[in-house]
This record gives sequence, structure tokens and C-alpha cells, in this order.
Amino acid sequence: MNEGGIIRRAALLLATLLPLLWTAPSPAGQVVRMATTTSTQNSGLLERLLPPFTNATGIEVQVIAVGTGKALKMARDGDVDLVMVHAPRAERAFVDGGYGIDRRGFMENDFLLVGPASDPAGVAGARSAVDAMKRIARSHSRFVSRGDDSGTHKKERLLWTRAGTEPGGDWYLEAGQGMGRVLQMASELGAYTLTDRGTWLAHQAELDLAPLYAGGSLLANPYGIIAVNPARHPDARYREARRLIDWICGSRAQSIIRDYRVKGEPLFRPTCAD
Amino acid sequence: MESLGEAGIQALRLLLTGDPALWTIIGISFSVSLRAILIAAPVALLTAFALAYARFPGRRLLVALFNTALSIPAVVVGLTLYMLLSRAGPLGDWRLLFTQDAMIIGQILLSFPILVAMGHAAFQATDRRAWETALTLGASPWQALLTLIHEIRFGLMAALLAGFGRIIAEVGSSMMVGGNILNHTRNIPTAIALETSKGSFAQGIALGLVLLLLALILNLALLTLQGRGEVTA
Amino acid sequence: MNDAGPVLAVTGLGFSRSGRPVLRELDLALDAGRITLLTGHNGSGKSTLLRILAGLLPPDRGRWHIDGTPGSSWQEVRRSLLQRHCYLHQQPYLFDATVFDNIAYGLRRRRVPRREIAERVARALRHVSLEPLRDRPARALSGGEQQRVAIARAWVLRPRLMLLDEPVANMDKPARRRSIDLINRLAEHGIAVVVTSHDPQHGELRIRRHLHLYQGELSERRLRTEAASASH
Repeated sequence: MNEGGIIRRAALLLATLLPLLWTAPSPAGQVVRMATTTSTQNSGLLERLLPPFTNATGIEVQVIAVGTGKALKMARDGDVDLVMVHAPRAERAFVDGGYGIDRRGFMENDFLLVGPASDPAGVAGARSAVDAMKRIARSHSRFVSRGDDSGTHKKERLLWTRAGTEPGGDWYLEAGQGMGRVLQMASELGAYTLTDRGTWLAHQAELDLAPLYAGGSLLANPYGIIAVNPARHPDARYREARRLIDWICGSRAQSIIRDYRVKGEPLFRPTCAD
Repeated sequence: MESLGEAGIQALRLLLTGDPALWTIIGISFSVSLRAILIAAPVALLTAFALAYARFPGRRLLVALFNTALSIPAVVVGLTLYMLLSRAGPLGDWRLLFTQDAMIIGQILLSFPILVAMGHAAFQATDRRAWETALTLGASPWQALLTLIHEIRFGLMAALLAGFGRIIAEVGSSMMVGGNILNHTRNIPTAIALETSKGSFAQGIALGLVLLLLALILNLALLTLQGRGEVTA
Repeated sequence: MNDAGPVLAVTGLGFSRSGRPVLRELDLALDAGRITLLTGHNGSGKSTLLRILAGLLPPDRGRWHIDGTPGSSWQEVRRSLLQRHCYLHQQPYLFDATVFDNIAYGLRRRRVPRREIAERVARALRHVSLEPLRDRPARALSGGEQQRVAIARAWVLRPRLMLLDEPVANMDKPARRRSIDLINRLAEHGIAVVVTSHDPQHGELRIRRHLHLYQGELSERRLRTEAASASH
């Protein structure tokens, strides 16, 4: 018997695998960590926006994409250095609570109501977003809700409140999933849903849904970027975070945002100059 | 929606063109999971051996606990670890959250119960005579343990493969404590989750096929390592 | 070989399992080059006694003299027992390896030089007439052949005492004769041998002493077998 043999062979295998153990590049220079929402990451904008910043400053931006609530919680706990979300009320509460500073509203896009092309609720003819929601509720047309406390879900809740209805019953489906999955569900079920424009543009081609209502300040989706308050988390990388915020409101970044296209359509409107 | 065939072609194209982004992701996947299994295996196998051969009170309870731990969802491990490692958590000062080290810890925790449970079964299937024979022929307890490992090498190899299979494919813990950061903590499963949420199903399936292919290669490599694996009566 | 004092002497050997005494204050001395037959019905503690003498099982009590040297702690006694004595299971366990590797096992663990291992294993293989099977997987051999490999594997280590648990049970006649012949030759080489059996038929086995284990106590018996084999 010779365990030596098997151990030698295992060592050989290990040696051939060894290079795999150190493939990951370690962050060489300065790093800043940013929490953002899945839909922001999925829009693809960050891949266009962040590399020029890294080139210009040598600061690498590590992006962690999660739900809005979790992104803000990470920032509150000091697990990231800044946060980029689109939930104005929650952002205000975050800043007022002393967790973040230097908030800038740097761009916006919008939400739209999509649904089956036959439009049984007549949403296309609505006078306002609130009216559109009323029509869906009145006709008991199927509606798929994110149901995950995301920014989009919060917006939807706001619209229901303004419409004076508490949605419920067979026609109202809470999915508890991401926007892409919810759009697919709505398409399969012939239901209405509220979506952000970025996800809509990315998925539109494969969906059996039509854009039915858009526009109005209620459906605006403003994005903010906030640095974690260094007074609360002294080891947060505030200087780097601050440089990123300033850069994003600079002319270079703002024009990248303006020119960004998804499937040939513009998606965001830069707002730092507003 | 793209067809599966299209996804398969895209997978091959991604692999063959040596897409650097893809290879970084593959590298991270294997680097993290290999390090996790290399750290977990020796401790887990010693634990398995102790559970099979030592007699101490609570031993059977411990075995039952390890078997139960097999069914802990990866997300729960990830969540628990997240709460420990968060700056707001008790181990926040270690600054491990959103690093590969955090992913490795998560994967060690995930693979440990499998390695112990399967290792225990393998050690239990050994003949007690093997242990006694090694000792009576003058082997030290440590040498006797190596002999025992050699006697059940196929069972232990299966345990290692099962453990590796679980962690190379798990998304819950890696996503939670790794953060899916490009070039740092994005591995194949979290990349698949990301592509799926973007609606790029073909890309997701392609990555899945890549994972499958690499797992196959690894299995074949281990098969040759085992040498002639035929059963001897 | 040195035939002077006993290879092993133990007095006051006691062992109990879950509160029930298995061995009660046994005294036992074994001489080099002698075959001792140990009988007793099933469950009388024969295997337990053998395992203790091999160093595989710690007794509750006992004072040890190994080759005339008194042992102090069980730790120390255990180490000498494991190094000097070899225990063979009723059905010997062969490692999942070739015949050669099985016989070389103990020598390799003792870090004997490679060339010496080859020589000693070759001699052992000749001794048990298994040279042609040198490179065969050991577990593919017949029961009798496996028994001989196990004996060779122990013999090659030059033990002072060999403890054989029911070595010739469940064997056909030719295999049995070969094994008995081998065991006799172990004694000729000066090795002390203990053979357990619950069967009084021992054929050609040259037994010099017969001990019977009953209710945890050893008693000396007259050698009926010697008379029987002499009459053949």
C-alpha cells in the first residue's frame, strides 16, 4: 500500500490548479464602494459612466447592486461609502437622519404603465397617472405588483393612495420579484404593471405588452447620490465618495448620461444643472 | 425570448473567444471555491473520522446535527454571515464584508456539513479491522488514519466533489456577503443571477453551460487521479 | 533465538465491559518459540484477551513485563506491545493494494530502506509460497491465500509474539494444513504464538500448552491434542 502515491498525485493536481487560486486582481489603488439598485446596474449606464472616472482619478468604484431598502441600510451601517438610489422620500429621511451628506439629484428617468395592447381598462385614455390607476382598479384588470418594497413598488403604492384605492382581490398580484421578472409575468398573464423605463426598454422586444401611459411629474423617477456621513462612520472613504459625486455632476459625466441610449432610445435626463 | 440552442452557441462563442470578462468571472469562481474546499476538507474529514471512530457522549446527536445542517439554505448562511460581518455587526471590524474572504467563509460553512456527513458515512463503512490491522503492524495513529483514508479514497473523493459541487454553484451566500462586485466578487452563479435579472437569458444560460463544462472537466481530472477505480472483491 | 525468559508476563490483568467483568485478575506468561492454545466458548473473552496483549485495547489493570522489562504506564506498555506483537483477525483484513504492498506495509511504516524491504518481502513471499502472486490485488485472492499473506505480513516484521484469532476456522482441508504448517514454522523461528479456538480439532498444530478461559479466569489444561497427534 502506498498512500504516498495518491498524495503525490493530489499535490500534482493541486499544483496545476494553483494559478486559479490567485487570479483575482487585488484592488491596487484607491477604492470606493457604492451601493445602488439592481435596476440602476441593469440599465448598463454605470459601465459607461464609471470607467472614465476611474481613468481620471485612479479611484476604483466597487458597485454592489441590491434593492433600494437594502442599499440604504448598507449605507446606514457603514458597509459602503456612498449610495446611488431613486427613492426621493427615503433619501430625504436618510439625509435628515444624519446618515448621509452631500446628496445630489444628478439625473432622472420616468416610470410608465404598461399592459396588454387590448387595454381592457382604457389606461391609454387616462387624464393622469392617478386616473389610470383608478381605471385599473375599477375594471378589476389584473395588475402585477413588485411587492418587494423597492423604489418602483413605493411609487406604485403612492399612486394607489392618490387614487384613493387600497388594491386587493384576485386581480392584484404581488410578485415579490425584480422588475424584469415582473414584466415577464405581466406579459404571460396579460396584466398591467408599473415599470421603470430602463428595464422596459431592455425587455420590451420579448414582451407581449404595450406602453400605455407615461408622463407627468408623478411618474418622474429622480436619481440621487449620497455620501455616507463621515461623522457617523469615520472610516468611510468620504474623500473618494465626494470626488465621485462631484465628478458625476461635472460636464463630462452629465453629457455621458444625456447621450446614453438603450436600444436606440435615450433613457436618462441629467439634472445637476436644474 | 432567445432559444436554448442560441444560448448554447453563445456559450461556446464566449468560451472560445476567450472573453476576458468571462474568464475573470470563471477565475474568481474557482479560486474562491477551491480555497474554501481546501480549508474545509482537512478539518471536516478529521471531524468525520472522530465521529465515526471515537466514542464520546453526544456523538450521535452531533451526527444528526451535521445531517440537518445539510438542508440549511445558502441564503440563510449568507444572511447570518452578513449580519456578523456588517460594520453594524459584531465582527464588523474585520472589514471582510464584500470581499472574497467573506465568500470563502460562507462556502466553507456551506461545504462543511456535506464533507462531514459524507465523510462520516465513508469512515463508518470502513472495517474496524482496517484500523486495528494498521496499528498492529506498527503504524502510528496518524499513519493508520492515512491508511484508512487511502482505503476509502473513492468515498472521500465523492464527498469532496459533492462539497465542491454545492459551493461552486451556490448563489445565495456569495451574492449576500460577496456583493457581486465586478472583477472582485462576481462569480459564475452571481453573474447568472445578474444576467437573469437583466433579462439576458441567453447570457445566463451560457454562463450556466460554462459552469457545467468546467465541472465536467474537473470530474474527469479527478477520475484520472483515482486511477483504476474498479471494485475489488 | 533467546529461549530464556518469557517474552511477555502479565499479572493481575483485569478488564470489564459496561460494568461486567470479562477478565478477572489473570496471570499469564508466554515463552518464545512455543504455541499456546487458548480455548473457551464463544463470548468468553478470547478475542478481548488477544486484543489487549496486542496493545489494541487498554485493560483496566495489570502489571506488565515485556522481555523481562517492567512497564510503568499503559502508554509505554502499549507502544512496546504494538511494536513487538502482531494480532491477526479471524478473517484477516487485507489492504486495497497488491500482495507486495500489503506485506511491505509495516516495513514502510518503520522506514526500512527500500532495497531491504524488497529483500525481506521476497523472503516472506517464499516462506508462504506465494511468490507468483506478488503483484496481484490482495483482495482478489482466496481465503487461504489471504490468510497466508496476512501471516507473511506479520512475520516479515519479526514479531516476538503473534496472536492468531481462530486462524484455521472455515477453511478447507488443504488450506488448513498449509496454515497449520506455517504456524508451526513461526514457532520454529522463535516466535511465541497464541492461537484461539473453540474447536478441539487442531490436527498437526504443535501445541505446547493449552489454556482455557472460563468466566473470566484462565486454567491450565492437559494436552489432549498432543496425545492425539502422537497417536497418528
